[in-house]
Amino acid sequence: MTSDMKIHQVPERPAANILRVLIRVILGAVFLYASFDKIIQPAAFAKTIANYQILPDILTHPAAIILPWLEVIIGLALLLGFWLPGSVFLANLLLVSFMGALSFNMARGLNIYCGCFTSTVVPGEEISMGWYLLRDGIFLTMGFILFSLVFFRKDLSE
Amino acid sequence: MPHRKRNTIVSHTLWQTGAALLLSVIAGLLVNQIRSNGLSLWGSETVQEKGDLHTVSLEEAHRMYLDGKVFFLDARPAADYRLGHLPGARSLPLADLDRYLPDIMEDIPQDAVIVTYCDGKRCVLAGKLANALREFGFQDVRTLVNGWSVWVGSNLPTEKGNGKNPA
Repeated sequence: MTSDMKIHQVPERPAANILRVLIRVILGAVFLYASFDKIIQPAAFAKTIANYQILPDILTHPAAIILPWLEVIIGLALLLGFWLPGSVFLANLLLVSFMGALSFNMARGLNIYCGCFTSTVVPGEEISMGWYLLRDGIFLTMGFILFSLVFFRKDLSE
Repeated sequence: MPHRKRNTIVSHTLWQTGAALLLSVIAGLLVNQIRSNGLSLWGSETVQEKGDLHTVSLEEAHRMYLDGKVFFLDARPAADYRLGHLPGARSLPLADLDRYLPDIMEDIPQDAVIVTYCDGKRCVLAGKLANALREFGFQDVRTLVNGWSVWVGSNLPTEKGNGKNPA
């Protein structure tokens, strides 16, 4: 099937291919790694979700239960290269949501000194808020690039 | 991009997204059921602050202040303390607990009435400070929930500056 489609297609750009594979492997690993702690310590994760004060209390536990496994599936899909349009779309959705939640809370002045984002108080935590933002920004940028590489490919054979 | 191919990728995205969501719901619920430290599905016990038994209301805290018998401890960082704190409060930032506790608490008897506070409904600093003080042997340590904001919100008197602040 692939060779049939290739007759009518513009030739692939090898650089775009490499970039696409590189980004999806890195992001896939990131999502997988991010899920471990949340699966091992669900109560701590529920507490973190609650501290963002965005979801209603009653949705805290369902989110804490389901979200990590969504990260596992997205991570595996990106890493192994299956279900790519769906996983790339979901990955971007999650990254945008995390970024939004972080920015929203910084903007509304949620007391970032209050030890709300970790279950233990870390001195100098206000500094790490900036790092989280930067780190998520990098992942989000990678996600957007991957999105355009997957959804706007010239041959769409994947 | 040909019209038909755009439809294909959109429909692929849709079913894959649905499948991923379905799988994560199933996996999450299953694992949560089986494991020993699973969460209750619609509960919120993780959201409750520990030390609920040791809280004071704003009215109580104000009354204690008027009686003149309470020691207020500000659990926020020193910079916040300097900008404004409860009158007579001492600064004991949770982050510097080990360093400053002996000095700050030196002249406070173990059976004194102590009220810790920080800021914000979900702030955990004051509760943790209270727990730590209890472990040190202070018998009557309570927490004013959402301390700074509710105190200021009721137009109660405040102070600025260094007060009893180690820094």
